Amino acid sequence: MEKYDETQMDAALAKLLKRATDPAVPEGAEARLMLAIQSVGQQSNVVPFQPRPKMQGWTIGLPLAAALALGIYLGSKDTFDAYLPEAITDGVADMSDSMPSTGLDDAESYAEGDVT
Amino acid sequence: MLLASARRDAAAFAELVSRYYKPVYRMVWRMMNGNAETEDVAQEAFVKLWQNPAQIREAKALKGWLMRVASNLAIDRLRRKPHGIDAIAEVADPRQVTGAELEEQAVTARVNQAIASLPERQKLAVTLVYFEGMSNISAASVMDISVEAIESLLTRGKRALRESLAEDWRGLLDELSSKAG
Repeated sequence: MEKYDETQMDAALAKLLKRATDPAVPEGAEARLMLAIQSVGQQSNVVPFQPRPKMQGWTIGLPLAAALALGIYLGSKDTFDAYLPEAITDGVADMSDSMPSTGLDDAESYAEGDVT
Repeated sequence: MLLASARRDAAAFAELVSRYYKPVYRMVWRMMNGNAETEDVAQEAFVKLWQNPAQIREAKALKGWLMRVASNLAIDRLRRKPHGIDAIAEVADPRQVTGAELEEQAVTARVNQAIASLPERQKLAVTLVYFEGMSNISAASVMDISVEAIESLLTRGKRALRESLAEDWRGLLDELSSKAG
């Protein structure tokens, strides 16, 4: 059983710790620190922003305009169809029908049983 | 002062150094067991502040920031290159001192050695609270831990110190209680 309580032991320990060495700052340490500081630069924690090189508007616009003009020109000439696949050019616009469907001919097949 | 330092004002920074260098140096010395590299480590902490003062937003946080940076640097240095505890066991030439002085030096050496033998986090907690007089809250902030965690570190640190210095502190207690009686 301990004859001293926690507070007494803490107080004694604190008193004992006061006997530890109190280190003295070496002579000239602060001056050496200031010298070291003068030899290093100061930096910011903000990374400087490097703007991207700005592109001239016409460097993009000119090729786009040329491509559009070429497309319109080639589209207006039938000769260009020869260079395209058949699936695109064959009968796409053929909407003529010699026998218009009225639906009456098919009615019988939908009726139940014999209608005659 | 902090603002002036941020503007690369060496005179303002020198004032800041004169105010905080000593506590930082003492703490690093204790953490590094009195090793000769103490000055380098303390210096490195201030150089970091000089290089990037924007890391500290409030002047009142400055001491805590310096203590944290310096203690981390000291711990890193110790882990890379562990130092013994011989550096702090300074006992003067016995021919030049009296018996009482020799005994006093022996106690000092034992106390230094007991502190040096603590695990690094316990040592830092004991150093900040007992030697630098910081409150538990401030010390917890330096160590970036909760107040409960620092209390636990202090309790374990004190227990370890009591064990290693059993003879000394019991003698002191007896002495104190006999004076009181």
